[in-house]
Amino acid sequence: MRTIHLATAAALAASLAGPALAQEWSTFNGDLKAQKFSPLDQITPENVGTLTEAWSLHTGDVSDGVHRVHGRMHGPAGKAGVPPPSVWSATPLFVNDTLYVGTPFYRIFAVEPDTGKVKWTYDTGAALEALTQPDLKNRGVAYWAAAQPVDGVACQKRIYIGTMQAELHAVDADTGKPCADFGTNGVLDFNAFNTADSDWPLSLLQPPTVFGDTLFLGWAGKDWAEAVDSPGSVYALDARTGAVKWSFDTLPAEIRDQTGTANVWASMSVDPDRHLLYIPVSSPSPNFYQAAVPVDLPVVTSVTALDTETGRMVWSRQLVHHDLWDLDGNAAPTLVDIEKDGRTIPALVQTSKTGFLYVLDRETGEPIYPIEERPVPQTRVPGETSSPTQPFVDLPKRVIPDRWPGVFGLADAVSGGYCSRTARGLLDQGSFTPPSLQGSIVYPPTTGGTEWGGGAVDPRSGIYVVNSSSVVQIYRLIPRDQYDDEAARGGETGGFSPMTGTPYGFQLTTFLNPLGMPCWKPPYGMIAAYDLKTGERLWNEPFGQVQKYGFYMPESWGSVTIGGPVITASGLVFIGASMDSRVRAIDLKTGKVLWKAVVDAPAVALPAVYSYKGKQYVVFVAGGNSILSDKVSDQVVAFALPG
Amino acid sequence: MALGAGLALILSIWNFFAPVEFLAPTASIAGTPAACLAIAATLALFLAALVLAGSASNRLLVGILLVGMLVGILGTAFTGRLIESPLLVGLMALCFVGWLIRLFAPRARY
Repeated sequence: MRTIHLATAAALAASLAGPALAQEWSTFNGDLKAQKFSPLDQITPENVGTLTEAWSLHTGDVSDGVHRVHGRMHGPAGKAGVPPPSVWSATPLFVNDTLYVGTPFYRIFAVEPDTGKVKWTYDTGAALEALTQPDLKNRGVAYWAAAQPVDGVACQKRIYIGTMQAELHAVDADTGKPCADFGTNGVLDFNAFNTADSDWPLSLLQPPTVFGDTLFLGWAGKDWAEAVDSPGSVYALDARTGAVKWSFDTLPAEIRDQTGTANVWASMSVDPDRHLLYIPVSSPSPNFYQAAVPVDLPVVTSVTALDTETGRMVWSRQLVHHDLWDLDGNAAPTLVDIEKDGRTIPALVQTSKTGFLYVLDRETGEPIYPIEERPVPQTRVPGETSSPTQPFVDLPKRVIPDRWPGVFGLADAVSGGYCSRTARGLLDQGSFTPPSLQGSIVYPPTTGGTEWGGGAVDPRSGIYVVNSSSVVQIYRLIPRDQYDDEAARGGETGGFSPMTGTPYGFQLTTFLNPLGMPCWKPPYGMIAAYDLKTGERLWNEPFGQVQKYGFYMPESWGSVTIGGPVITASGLVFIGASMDSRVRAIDLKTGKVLWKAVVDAPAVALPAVYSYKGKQYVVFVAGGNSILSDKVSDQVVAFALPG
Repeated sequence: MALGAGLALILSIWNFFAPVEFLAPTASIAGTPAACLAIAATLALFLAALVLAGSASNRLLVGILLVGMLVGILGTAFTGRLIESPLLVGLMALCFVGWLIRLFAPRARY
């Protein structure tokens, strides 16, 4: 064990010693441990105020879902040939002296890191259709390099991108040409693994996690549509050929005819020393009514550790039992060693839509800070059962309040009491209030707590930073014989999901007044820092601003956030994530905003930090997300110090 | 008042088209309803100021215009606050000074 720690320390020291050289950002989360930490320190709290745009690139791959797109179009699109809206959450990678980014039209751009000039592009030719998602989504690309490259042979370094129709493409990182030895002529049809259900493809929106010569891959599906869906297996593929090395099934074989999904749609992390893969597992279908799913079903809605070589499960920690709220495990856990009580503990921090921070021993899955089972409200929906208890964490403090914040007087007043009237008619029993036929106030709901961006950590100090959203949604089950009529009246934006195969359909609505104002009290989004050595919260500040119709709401209201932070060695936190299309630098010590800039749309992707030719860059993808605002863009923008 | 409102109108038109606001590079309202509102409000103020300058003898009209312009100045300043345009707020302050002068020196021409 001591040898392992020394090796880790040596690797960290080596990375810290070389900031003058090119410093990469090689994975979706910056590194395999999902620390989102850069050892670079050229941009400091003292000079960040002078940060300016170094370059900006527009890829052309953007759709607002309304206007025709000039440029490529493959296959049938939506009404009048307009593709669905684009949701662009791709973290750019800086490797191989090149910045690589995948687009929501499923193209790869290889870009010069200091100028933004395009070196090459690769077009997957994917259909621009909303097959499993309402929007065209992409969270980027992955990079692999042969440990012992062969001179003169192509594809010794590769870039991978997935598509909505579940194809995984591999191209040469230098030329953008397909790697013929991967899959069939550079394309692996992931739907070949979809043997259980063929209604929907297994969309590949999250890039694979690359470790050694292996790609770890989950998938995204069409949520809330059917009771029985494809089981959420995770695959380990050969990076050269795409051949399956192993797969891990999150659902036992005996219940796969009753449920499905429990898939891994978000990013994963790897402990390279322990050869452990950490996967955030989502909830099983059809999510909001689970009478057919055993209450004590393990692994679902969990963080689970697998052996990277065999796929054998080493441990699994369930975060929500019998998850009736779709509170998925949704972000790669952050791996960090914590100095505590004179010991070095190999830990991980798992964020969640629940708003809890689960700090676990990453070798065993046991809690470092206590997780307590507490009784929770029980469902009264016929046929359904609740888990009698749910796991609660008191330390570190939850990122959101334990109960919903209550009716916002201003929203209530301007709507003639709509908010308070509606709240009185809803089931409200605090945390884990189950879905109901009358409608339940759910806090946090499936869009609350912390989303797929997760948190970031400074591994030297154990300071952990995470953004969050305070959102109230109403969950309502609708008897099957009424569902079709209600859904037809409600239209496409009514929040209806059929959950076919169950006695109920489902309606999910955000608790807004008729003017579109949130009915719950602000702040709507926060960013907080924690000392992982003690669990203490160091600061907690409203983050971002709501911008509606162009008007900025007060800073104290914060903004719903999607995306996550990165930390640099100089003590800065860089983050987009807010509704107001701004990117910010925050002082790690105080939580105060030191710098901000306007970009074309909400920057919901994790930023990337890298250095090239002695200069540090922070690059954001400003693509937008329909959950935050209607604003979309195709902008990649890099910031650096002047000169 | 006409000077302040005229400059505010030009500023609002700029803010409608520019990717970031004039002298407020961390805010953007390009193409938004807020930008349209600012243009409409400053245009109305500008026109009212011109009418007021030529209507000193009609006391009823002057009274109506002064009340309307006070509401317009305060509302536009509040809009300036909500769109994070300190320059627009400043120009409304200039208009307000003009409004006060006009109120207490009714025979002056501004």
